[in-house]
Amino acid sequence: MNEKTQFGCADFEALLAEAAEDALGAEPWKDFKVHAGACSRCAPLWEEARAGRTWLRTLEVAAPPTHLLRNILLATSGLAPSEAQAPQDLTWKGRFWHWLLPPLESVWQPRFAMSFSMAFFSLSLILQVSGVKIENIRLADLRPSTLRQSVVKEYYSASARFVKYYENMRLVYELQTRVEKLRDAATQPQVLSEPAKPAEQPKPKPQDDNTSGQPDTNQNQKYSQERLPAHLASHPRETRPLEFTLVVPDRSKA
Amino acid sequence: MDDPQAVAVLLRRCQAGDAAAWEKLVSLHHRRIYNICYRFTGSPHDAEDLTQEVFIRMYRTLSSYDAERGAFQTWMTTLTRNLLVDHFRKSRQDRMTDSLDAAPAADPDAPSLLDRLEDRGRPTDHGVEAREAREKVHLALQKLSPDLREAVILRDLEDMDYREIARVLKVPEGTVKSRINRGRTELARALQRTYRQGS
Repeated sequence: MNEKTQFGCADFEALLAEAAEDALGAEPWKDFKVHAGACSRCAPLWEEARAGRTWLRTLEVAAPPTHLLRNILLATSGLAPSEAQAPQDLTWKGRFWHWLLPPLESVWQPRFAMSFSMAFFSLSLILQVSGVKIENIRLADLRPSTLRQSVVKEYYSASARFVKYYENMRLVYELQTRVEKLRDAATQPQVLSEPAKPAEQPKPKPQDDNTSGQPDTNQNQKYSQERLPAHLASHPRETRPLEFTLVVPDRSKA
Repeated sequence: MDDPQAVAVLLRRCQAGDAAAWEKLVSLHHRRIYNICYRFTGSPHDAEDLTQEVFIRMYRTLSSYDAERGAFQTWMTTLTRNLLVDHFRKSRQDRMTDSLDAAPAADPDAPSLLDRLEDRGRPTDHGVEAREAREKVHLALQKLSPDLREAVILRDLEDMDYREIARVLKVPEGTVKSRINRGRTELARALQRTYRQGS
């Protein structure tokens, strides 16, 4: 089929790249077109090459990151862009910011902003909990002697509160212990009046091999059982009123 | 900055240690170098690192550049290409290349490539579709073998002429044209497969 035009597949492939770019002259383009229409092997190549070129031309130039130029200059000449070409037409305020901003660029990032906000939040929370009000702070309060006095005052105030609380709790526990003792004393005659049970054979004591010097665990359990509320509630209710005798030690004799 | 004399003056200033001239040179060319690296590697991070590496190497070897042996752009592109090849050999990440002989599935009803291009070229307000289409082209470009990829990047994206490309790639012009042809056809086939799978 190619004898007619004397234009072979090799010629076609040699011109394919330029043909896809519409860069062929009139004469070679004519031969090329005739061959592309006649050759079943070259026709799809022509279509694909043209389509591939068109697709590739749709790609835009990728924009580099904004910091790339600065990084390159720092890695090569060691000078930042602002240092290499210092702006001359800026006001003193503009120059100040121009000088200040580059070192702060690394700090002005979301993670740093997040850290700063968390630190501010924590500080304000601590101040609020500790009762410190910023508006009440005067310059005189920041003197070392004043700071020391306030710290000492806070320390004694806090310790006095703690001691008071401890004393209150101690009084409550003492009263509770007294009441329990009185209740035990009141229930004791009832227990003694019950018929005597046949004497049980004493159980053989387990061999005391505890050499640790600590009390037996059974003993501890008995002590704890005496104070169980359930155990106290199971005692029969007294029908007669309780009689207490308050013995006050006579300190004058002592 | 295509004027050879202006380039020569700028290069002389750079070789003399003029920081401002060097900054001008970098600001003029870093976009193009980044684009080549990005289209070749497919990764913005790799492209950023490689662009920086190109200019570091250029800064060190700028005194060895001889204007009589070739244009500065060709010298710079050669430097970039060598680094890209080194990077490719190190990473070996893109060896999954679609074969040229892979026969596309016969589908007589499927629209032709040019029909797809014409569809895509219609004036629509679908900016998202256009962006997705570009993304598909970019991904299809990564499927090409490195030889074909660098050839089509330099020709179709960077508009370098065949002679310059032949000098950069150190191959004859006929080989450059053959690689460009194969690169374009393989890209078109890869995109055709992508659209066929998507439809």
